[in-house]
Amino acid sequence: MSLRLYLDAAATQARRSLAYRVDFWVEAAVVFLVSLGVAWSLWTAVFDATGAARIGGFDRPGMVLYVVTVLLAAKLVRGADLGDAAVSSDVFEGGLTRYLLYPASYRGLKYAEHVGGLVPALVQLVLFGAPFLLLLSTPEAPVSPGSLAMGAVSLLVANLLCWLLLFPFHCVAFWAEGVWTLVLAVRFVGDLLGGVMIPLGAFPAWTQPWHAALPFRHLYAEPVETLLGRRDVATWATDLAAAGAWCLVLAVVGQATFLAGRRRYTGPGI
Amino acid sequence: MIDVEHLSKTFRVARKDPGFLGSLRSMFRREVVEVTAVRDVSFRVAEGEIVGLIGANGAGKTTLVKMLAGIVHPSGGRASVLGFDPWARDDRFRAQIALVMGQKAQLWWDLPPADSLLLLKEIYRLPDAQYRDTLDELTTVLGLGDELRTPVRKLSLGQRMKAELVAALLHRPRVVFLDEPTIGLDVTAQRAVRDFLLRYRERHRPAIVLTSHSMDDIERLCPRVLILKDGVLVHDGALADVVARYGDDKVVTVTLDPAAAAAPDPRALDGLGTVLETSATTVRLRIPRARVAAAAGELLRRLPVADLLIEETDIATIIERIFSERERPVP
Repeated sequence: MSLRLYLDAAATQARRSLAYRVDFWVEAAVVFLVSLGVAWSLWTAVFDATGAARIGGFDRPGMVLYVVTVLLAAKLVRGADLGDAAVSSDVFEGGLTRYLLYPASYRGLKYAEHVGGLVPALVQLVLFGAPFLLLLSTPEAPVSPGSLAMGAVSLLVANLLCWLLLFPFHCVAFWAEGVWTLVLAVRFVGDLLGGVMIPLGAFPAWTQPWHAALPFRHLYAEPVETLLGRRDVATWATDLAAAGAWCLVLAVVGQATFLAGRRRYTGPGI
Repeated sequence: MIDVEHLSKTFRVARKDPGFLGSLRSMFRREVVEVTAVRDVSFRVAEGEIVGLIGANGAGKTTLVKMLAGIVHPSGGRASVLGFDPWARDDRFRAQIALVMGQKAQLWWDLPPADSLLLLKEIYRLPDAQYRDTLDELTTVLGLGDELRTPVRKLSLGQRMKAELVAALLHRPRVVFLDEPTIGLDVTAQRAVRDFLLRYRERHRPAIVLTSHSMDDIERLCPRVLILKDGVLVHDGALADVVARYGDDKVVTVTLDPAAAAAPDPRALDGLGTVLETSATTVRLRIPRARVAAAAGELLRRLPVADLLIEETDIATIIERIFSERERPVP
């Protein structure tokens, strides 16, 4: 294990992801403005139609702030989970061959690349999200340097958790080849149960124990609520430990799936 | 360095009928067949040796190379490369081998090769001095300069293959697998790659296994060839032995006396051999080796001969003949 190797792999991927300047700026602006527009229109309509003052523990500006933050944060948590650098693409298109030749851990290198690929999303979050967070912070979302720091740590763990959660599904490509739809479905479930589409507080009460038992809340809802200053240190630390435990479990599952799948790997062009 | 015993690989391959109905049916039920890509193959390769691995499409060349590089697990048999079991994927093994696939880029497409090389330096844990020395040596011999700072996707095929070679050899591997390294290259680039490989072999003495459909590659680089046919090793020996073993005939070219000024009567060639070409100036025949002397005498007697040339059948034709039964689809 060499930390420098993984830093270099991350830096290499960061350079790749910054290779297309126009794409970077278009995506940065479009993602932010579309997120803002959708959140404002949707939740304004919901609040107007229901006449409710609060939904899922948020008032109207608090809800817009939450939704925009969670959409920006989700890009950081997911990264390029379905792009050409995805594990399933490596298996299907044969990119895995290159990694299997290297005297280094495939999963280590891929995760380092995954982190490096977050650079555009990170720059976009800093450029658009941070001023937005600070300008629109409300009494319900008391953003502070402390909450931002804790939220940043939660986002790091959420990113690892998301990658480990999707890894076994990507490995299904060893058996089923094309798994794009499967990974997309898992992502959709994660978005729904992780609080991207609707804050978890807006779900019925009977679903709350399920949210607590599943890993999805650690992906989006918890880091964003932490960023917005809505969680105390003790709750944050407990949730972080739970997310870490999920990471360990999923790492073991992923390793077993990968080792079993690798025996079937042929790469294209036999 | 490479020791292979009874190596086999069988793939399970899904078959699908053509057309829309075939596609629809395959959604519910798929026919799965077993295809044996490599069957009971045994051979050895020593340090500093370049061995050509040749065969028709689907003969099992790439599968064999991938097994030896530890990419594909075999169905049976054993192999030892540098004393390691390739499929155990020991880091010490992987640090000493390289695989170059002419049809599959190993470098990062969006980045200049220089960026990929820096990452490879870390992957192979190369000391700075060794990295600089090897890079200088490889880029000088291959004639690479500014190309290393140009994104791979903007390089020509020849430049890309040179960069691929630099990337593959940066860690000075002791065993190199080259899968069609000159495919798609123009004649000049092919020659440059071949010359480079010869010089590299001379200097570093790696064992090299080269698969290629280019007989120029094989003739220039490989004193010894392995011929795979339908996954079976049908020949392991000197290239010259292939001619002796499979070249059952010779090609006789007769240059006719210009004074004759007409194509010869076909009846004059009856019973001599297979006519490959006839014109007012030239006659070419393929004649069984045992009858060449007699046939040459007959030609001299029957035709107005100005010159007569007897040649071995060229190696490409012989190899083609060995492969010629049928081609199997690739799994």
